[in-house]
Amino acid sequence: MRDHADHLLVYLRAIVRDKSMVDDVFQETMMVAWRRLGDFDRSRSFGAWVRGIGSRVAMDHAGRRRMPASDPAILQEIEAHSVAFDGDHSISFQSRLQALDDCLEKLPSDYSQAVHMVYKAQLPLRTIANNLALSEEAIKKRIQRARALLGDCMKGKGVLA
Amino acid sequence: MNQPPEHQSTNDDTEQDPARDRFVDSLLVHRFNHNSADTDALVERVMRTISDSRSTRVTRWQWWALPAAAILTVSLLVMPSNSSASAIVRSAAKAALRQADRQYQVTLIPVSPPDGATSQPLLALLDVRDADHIRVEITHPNGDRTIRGRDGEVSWRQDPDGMVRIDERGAAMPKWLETPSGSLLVESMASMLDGLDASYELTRTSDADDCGIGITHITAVSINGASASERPSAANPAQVIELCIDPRTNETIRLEMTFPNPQAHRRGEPGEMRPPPHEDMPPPRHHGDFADGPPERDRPIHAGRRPAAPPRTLIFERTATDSFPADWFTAPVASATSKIE
Repeated sequence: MRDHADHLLVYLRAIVRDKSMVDDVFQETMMVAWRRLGDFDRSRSFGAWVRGIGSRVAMDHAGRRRMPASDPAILQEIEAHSVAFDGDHSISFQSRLQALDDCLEKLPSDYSQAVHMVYKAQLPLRTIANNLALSEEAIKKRIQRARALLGDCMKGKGVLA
Repeated sequence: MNQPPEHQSTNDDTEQDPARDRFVDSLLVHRFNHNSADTDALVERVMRTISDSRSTRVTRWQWWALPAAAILTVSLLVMPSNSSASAIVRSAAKAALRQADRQYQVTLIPVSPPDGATSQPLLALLDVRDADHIRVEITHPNGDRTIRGRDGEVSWRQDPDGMVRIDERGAAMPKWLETPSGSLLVESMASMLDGLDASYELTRTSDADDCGIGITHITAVSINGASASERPSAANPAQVIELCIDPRTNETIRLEMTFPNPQAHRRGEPGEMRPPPHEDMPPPRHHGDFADGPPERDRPIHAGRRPAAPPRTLIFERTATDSFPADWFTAPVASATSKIE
């Protein structure tokens, strides 16, 4: 289970809208998987099986909090990216993450700067906007474009669908 | 799991490929704000829950405790908070004086170069035991690391090449370290909070706004007319200081200083605060420019009593680390060491 925990966390963070729920959904997913381990069909992917449990637990949590359910089509696409990221399991999660690092290095400098400010330094959008003399909306757009470029790059490396 | 406290939604489903956008967003959060220890802690928690659920025995509810718990809960909910912002900051300053190991993630956002070029934030880890035991590890945008420290008796510095320089004159560590990205304040939280209410107007703002639910948010705005030299917290030209204080422990968990924007002043933009007089804050240097002196590594170790080039923003965030090894603040043993006498 430990081997799949990192990837499960990435998957849950992508499908769960309220990020404060991720730890709880992760914990419950792992508990359910532990209890139902006997039901797992060993001819199938363990990662996909755990993610399936995770998506149901996430929907339960959202329902309990009366939050709108995620679009099933989007969930399906996120699962497709997860399968591609899983690859053939011959390399570790951390090694697969190296593809992201490679792509980050190729980002234009202003995009890279924005990504570092948001994700690494975890600065509030307001602070970034003030410092770069841009609107918060412009920072959001820049980050979205950076993610789109990263997505293209990672797709090119075969780690995204 | 560590979620960035301000992992504000920069993604929405109006994107052309929202699924891929959300997946990449999640990978970035994991890459920068999650380490294997976080995952280990989560998995361990699951394992402990599984183990506990096997051994749990049903315990009889302590009915006598129910009225007491109800009274306590109601009291906590309805008890008016009469703490003024000044009192909260004074309590935070007092709490910061308690000898304890504290670590802060420091982010320095440089003043944007006038040519519109981009500049990366400078990251540092500030470890503090008390005012005389301080260690700061600076990671420069190019990946180089500089470590400076004081072990109670001597100040020392380790440069990116591994060379350790020890100041045997017993001089205190400089309050402001000059880096190519701007001046970095290296001080204990207690010193930063000391006398704050004398030179800043303090306001308590909505709790959940920027600090998170249940955390007290104080905004400190420099009192007009008080130049840095007149303030007890002398030589700190910050104009606005945002504080996030945990009301349960009075510990300051986040402190953000915003400095005047000298370029906006030069452009004469309306609404910008006037910078302090020249003697308080010399004009900042450009990124990577050492026009007003030698590079930081070549400067005397005792330099930096005043900020030569305040950054745009300086942020201190408390990390989960709460203890350091006994010799953490002493100079490391290096192949090459020089002494300043």
